[in-house]
Amino acid sequence: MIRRFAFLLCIASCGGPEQPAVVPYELKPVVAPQIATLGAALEAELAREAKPDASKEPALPLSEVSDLLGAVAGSEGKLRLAAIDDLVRLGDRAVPALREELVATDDDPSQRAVAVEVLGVLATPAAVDVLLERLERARREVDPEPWMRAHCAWRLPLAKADWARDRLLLDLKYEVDYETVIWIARTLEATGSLAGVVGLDVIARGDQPERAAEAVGWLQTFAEKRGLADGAALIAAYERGDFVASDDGPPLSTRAKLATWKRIAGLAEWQLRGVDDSRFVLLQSGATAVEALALALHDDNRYIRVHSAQVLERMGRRASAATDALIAALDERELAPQAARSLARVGDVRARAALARALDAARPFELRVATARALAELGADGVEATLQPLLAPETPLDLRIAAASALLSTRGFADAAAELAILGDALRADGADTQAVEAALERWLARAGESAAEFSKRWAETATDPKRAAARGALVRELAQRAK
Amino acid sequence: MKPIRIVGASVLAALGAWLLLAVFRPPPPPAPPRAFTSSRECESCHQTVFAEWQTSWHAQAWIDPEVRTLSNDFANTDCIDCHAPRPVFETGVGKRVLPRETRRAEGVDCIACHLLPDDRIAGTIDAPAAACRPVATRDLANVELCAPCHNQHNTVDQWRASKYATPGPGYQDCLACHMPYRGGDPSKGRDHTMHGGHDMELVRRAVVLRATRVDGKATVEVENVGAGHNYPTDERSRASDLFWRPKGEETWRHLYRFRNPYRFEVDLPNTELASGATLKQTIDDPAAAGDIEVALFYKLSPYWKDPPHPDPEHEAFLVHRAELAP
Repeated sequence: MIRRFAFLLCIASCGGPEQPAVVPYELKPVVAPQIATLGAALEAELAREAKPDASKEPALPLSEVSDLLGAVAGSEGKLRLAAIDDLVRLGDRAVPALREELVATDDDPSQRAVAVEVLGVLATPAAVDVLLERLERARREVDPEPWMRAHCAWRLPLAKADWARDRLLLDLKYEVDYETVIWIARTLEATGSLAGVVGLDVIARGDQPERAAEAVGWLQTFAEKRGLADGAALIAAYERGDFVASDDGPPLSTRAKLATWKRIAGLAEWQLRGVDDSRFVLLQSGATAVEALALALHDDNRYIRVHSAQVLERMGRRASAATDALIAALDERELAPQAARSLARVGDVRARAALARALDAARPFELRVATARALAELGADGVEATLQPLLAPETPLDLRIAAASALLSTRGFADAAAELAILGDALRADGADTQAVEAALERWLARAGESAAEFSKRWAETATDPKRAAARGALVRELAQRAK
Repeated sequence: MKPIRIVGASVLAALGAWLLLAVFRPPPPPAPPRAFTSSRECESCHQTVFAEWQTSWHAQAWIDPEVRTLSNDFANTDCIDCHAPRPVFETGVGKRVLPRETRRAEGVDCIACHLLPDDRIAGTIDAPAAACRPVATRDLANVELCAPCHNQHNTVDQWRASKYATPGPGYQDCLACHMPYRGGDPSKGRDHTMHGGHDMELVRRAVVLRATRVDGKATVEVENVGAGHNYPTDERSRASDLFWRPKGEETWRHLYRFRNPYRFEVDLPNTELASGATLKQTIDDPAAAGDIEVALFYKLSPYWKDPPHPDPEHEAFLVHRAELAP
């Protein structure tokens, strides 16, 4: 007896295959050190490039610069180019006067247009800053001359000042003048970024026929440059993430990288409006932003972590390079639910196994629900066995619905009776998130295609029903009965 | 021994034993930890509070059709953080809340304000044996508990700048107006109906309307006498409009609008009326020389169906009305 016990003890102490060590998710300052490092690098670059005694040169008065602007406006051909060259040679000394000129509405408009052109050719940080400031004016006050914003977008020397893209992207969010939006999109595209195509698509479907035609034309041009048939194919490819690697164009300058990290720091702002601005800009940014956001998932500021994951979620497939970082984030309590959502949108099926592990009963409820919902979106093929027990009636409502939605993604139109019964009841239940249920059912119907045509028609008919959720619940219940 | 003495001694002994037990009995064992998955779990013990909350706008935060329209069905995701927040105590009092994944249909619910990071419940007493293991938490009455959401539109900052934020007899915090004691009796606990801008009685108490003649000219004043923040506050979608009309006429004439515009409305100033401030408007119109009516209306959404011809009687709530003789 004792010998048998000792033997069993020995077996038990040997254990099975070695378990992987649990490595705690690392939280540390990420964004602040990046900003400090890039800031120092930028200062060093500026010191290297600085001309001796440049700061001692006095700024030129508007009267002096104005004469030269008049000379450019009144001349043509080589004479004009020479006059522009004269202005450009004045360098940053002319910038304050050119800035004044941009709002001098009593002057000849052609002179203001020249001032914009000169600032664009000058392309120094100070000159570019004035152009961006003018572009941003409509966010602060009524702009009497929207055409000036279009000119600034046109002349913005993005190829020489890649850091300006960050502010230009925010302009996309607020700009209401269609001509300016078109120019922003064109300027961005000229440096490899397709961030403006969504804006062009809005204009193409908008209520200004001339601008709509222009937008359609530019979408077509951009598509053809990339070997695609038309604007629709271009937008689909952009949203799929086909161009994410080239979105940044040539390697970014230190100043541009710094701008990206400062935007990420903006995710920790108190006002959600500011957070949304940062999310928007980062969402439209390229591969550099994806890489930085993946690193920011380890920042010790919870807002930076969670909102970085939100940006990756909205990027969808364009953020596929962040998949591994998001899978790792499933181990960070505060970040994990958002990481699950982001993985669903990024759409890499490698995430399925990790998501299934996060369904474990020992994990926080919030995470388990988010994970089941993510599997509903990503498709739960191969992890059905983990989800099945969650359909039990004693499972809390949110989790049971999410599990049924996930399992539905693996079912055909005729073999989903159990899941449909749960979801049908959920649509009629108090306290259920009917929006998520409807989304899951719509994905399932879309996949079922022709076989669900009749049901899909009835489903669509309930869209405007004042008691839509209840009506759809009854429909789904009926389908569940039939499937039985 | 007489039987009466025996009975008396027995009763005394029993009482003594009961007293000893009551004093020295070990406290009931603490309730086991539980993870709350829905505010409905609170209902069975806290029926009054739950019923009040269910009628509140906090409970409608996710499902209200108007919110859904204004947030584009929450496609404007920056709205989710406050319309379905994770518990305030999880992120920290005074810190911004984060959006949650679960029970979104419950909006701003019991869990959002009362759940502590260790799964106990912030309450007014310590009762470890109760099912939800409440812990007396003074921060429940702290304005910073409301600030994570309500200061997104600067309401708490407006209060900080008001006389009500000054410590002393005049001090009144958010709870004083928006979560008063039931029937004014502290022993009955606080009303969880969370009265606010949808409660016209509260709105009426916030401002007074005065109409007088100054040098023969009709002069109208609106004073923010009761709100510890701007009138109106919080939402850009809220507006309050001052109208007048010659007595007997049907059509109201617009005089002034109190509103903080949306950020894209760069041509409009913020005209909210700060706490304690007075707006004075003179009606510079010959038609105002005779008998006139003046009225202050309140709107939950800023736009009129037919902007050149606003119809406040059908599209807004009447706050105050005054008449002015020649």
